Amino acid sequence: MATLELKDITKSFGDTDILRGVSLEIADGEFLSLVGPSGCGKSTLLRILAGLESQSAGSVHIGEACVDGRRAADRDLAMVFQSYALYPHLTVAENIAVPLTMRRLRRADRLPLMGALMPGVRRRRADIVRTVREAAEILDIAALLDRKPGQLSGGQRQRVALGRALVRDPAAFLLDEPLSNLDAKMRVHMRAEIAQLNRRLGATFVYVTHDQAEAMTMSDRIAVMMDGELLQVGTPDELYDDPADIRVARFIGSPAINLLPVETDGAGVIRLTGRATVLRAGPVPVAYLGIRPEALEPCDRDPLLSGRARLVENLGSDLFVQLDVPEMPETVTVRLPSDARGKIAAGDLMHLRVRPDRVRGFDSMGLAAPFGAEALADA
Amino acid sequence: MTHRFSARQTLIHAILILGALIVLLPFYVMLATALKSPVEIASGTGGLFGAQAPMVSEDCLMQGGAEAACLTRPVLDNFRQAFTKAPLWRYMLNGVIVTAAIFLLQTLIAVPAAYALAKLKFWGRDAAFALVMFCLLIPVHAIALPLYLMLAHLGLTNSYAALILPWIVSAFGIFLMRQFFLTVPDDLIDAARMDGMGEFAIIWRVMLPTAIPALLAFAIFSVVAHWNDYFWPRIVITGDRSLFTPPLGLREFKGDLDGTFYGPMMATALVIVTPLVAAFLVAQRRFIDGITLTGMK
Ligand SMILES: Nc1ncnc2c1ncn2[C@@H]1O[C@H](COP(=O)(O)OP(=O)(O)OP(=O)(O)O)[C@@H](O)[C@H]1O
Ligand SMILES: [Mg+2]
Repeated sequence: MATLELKDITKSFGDTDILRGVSLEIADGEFLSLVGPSGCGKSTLLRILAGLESQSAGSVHIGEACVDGRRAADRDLAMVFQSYALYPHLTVAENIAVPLTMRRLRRADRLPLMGALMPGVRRRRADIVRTVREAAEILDIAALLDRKPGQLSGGQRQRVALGRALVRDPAAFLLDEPLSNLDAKMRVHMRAEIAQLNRRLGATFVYVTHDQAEAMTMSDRIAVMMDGELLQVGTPDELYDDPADIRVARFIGSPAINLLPVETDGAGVIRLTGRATVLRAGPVPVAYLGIRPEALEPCDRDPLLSGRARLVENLGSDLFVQLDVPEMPETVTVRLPSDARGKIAAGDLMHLRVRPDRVRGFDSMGLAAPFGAEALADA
Repeated sequence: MTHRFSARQTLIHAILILGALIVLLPFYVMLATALKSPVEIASGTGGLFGAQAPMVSEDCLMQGGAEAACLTRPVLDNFRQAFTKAPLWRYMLNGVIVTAAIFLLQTLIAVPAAYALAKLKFWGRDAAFALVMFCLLIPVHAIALPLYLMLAHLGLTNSYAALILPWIVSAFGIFLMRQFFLTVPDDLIDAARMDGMGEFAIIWRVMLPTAIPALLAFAIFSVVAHWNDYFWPRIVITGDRSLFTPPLGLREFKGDLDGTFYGPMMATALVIVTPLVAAFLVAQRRFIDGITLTGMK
């Protein structure tokens, strides 16, 4: 168990900068998710943390110690790879045992035949077998211990890869999109298991994913990464409710947040499609309003927006309606509770309003632009 | 599956069968000759197995045996001569020692070299690989003389070392293993590093076991080449018969003045190729079974 710290990490492959000054502190026992679109440098950052890749500048600390220049084998981290990376020639039990045999037995002990004669080896081997069995039971793969990886399903391989990581008691677990190859149902199941594992072991987890739902459901904190930079690090609620950047707002939440282009006039009045609204900008002019689909509600008078329903998606628990709003470049998504089922159909005209405290503003650069205090009071 | 007659397929198979016959013909001649009496060999009679009529062994008579005691069958006489006129077992043992030592040392050198060329990043890697490719182009015969002179300077001619040392670095082995290692996912190697393995542990515990099919292919190439090699042992083993390899043993039956003893010679040849054929049949199954890399994805 240990804290992890990345200080101003940069990484370039040739001329291309992949990471541009990433700093991140991860607390002991924390579950931190690293999310971002494909190719933004998540795996690269994780590999630098693991010692599989060297950073161009910056430093990595595990616990109190600076581990720059220390080999991956000596950093005492466990990693689960995007591709599982099981040893194809070893059985499940042998796969899981590898990190233990490499660490608990000395070189001479590991020799075939000879090793069996060394003092204490038999006892330590028995210990390893027991630890492997315990790990297999936690992950529900005890029945598969004698199989080769080629004879397992994707979900089973996944759990073997997890087992190989958690037999040890490492300083931290690094998981690189471990669920990306699973089907939707298996993914939800494993998601719960990994989160549970984190709580039971009390170990530090760094979890890379490009699936924001995974990150939202499992994490203590989420770090959103784009183009080699961290945009925001915070709890799932902070990221959902108070995105610091329009790209974070867009990335977190499904269906995506509605981003409405607006203008701020000289008096600070925010105008939507040319009409003045009750909202007032703070010191910085607001260029976009971000409104979550569930923050919009139908109304009879003084709507913020009106539009015709283009598509009604019934999920059973909720109803998502896509609205065509005149002069708005994209459709607006509204979430309605399930009792609205049957009451609305494509082509209907809808009037919508929003509670001002559930609206977020962004400036023309995409950074969060807070509303002025009186803006909320007025509304 | 359809079993309709197809002229195209028939033609293809006819050509293939013809090709196979051409390849097998020398083996047939070797087998038939090993079974026949000198008269049958000289006159080209006796069919496939020879008539196996009782005959008096001339070799036996020359050794001073009585006429009655030297009455035997051609096949028995050929094989008796093969094993008694020359220490064939000794030659076979030498063959095993030399080919096994060459293959083991080649593996010991080629596998780490191939791993470095395929998976490690270091300055000059591509140039080093280009040199390996270049070495593939050098024919053995071109460097035989310098090699011989070097061994002679070191006083190593007429020794096992002379038979083994020149071959322990195999450019072909390095090339073949490198091509195979390229297909091993990088993640597997990184996983091994995370599990606490050093680079040599990765080579012997991860890369080699996953590369068994490639190693077998190389083993067949290497063992066949050096078991059958006549050229190099002929150069470096000049006197000492106890160092002869099996192909040198064939020379025993090249009678200089009194003609060549084809029967015993072909019996010897048959004995020499048998282990290779047997080994190939065993290895063939492993080729097909070969460990797949499917466990990684
Ligand atoms: N060895 C390398 N040489 C050159 N470029 C590389 C190398 N490794 C990664 N890159 C580049 O670095 C960028 C980030 O790669 P990385 O694997 O970290 O992305 P990622 O965020 O993990 O994406 P994904 O979600 O698809 O796994 C990519 O544009 C990739 O092309
Ligand atoms: Mg990745």
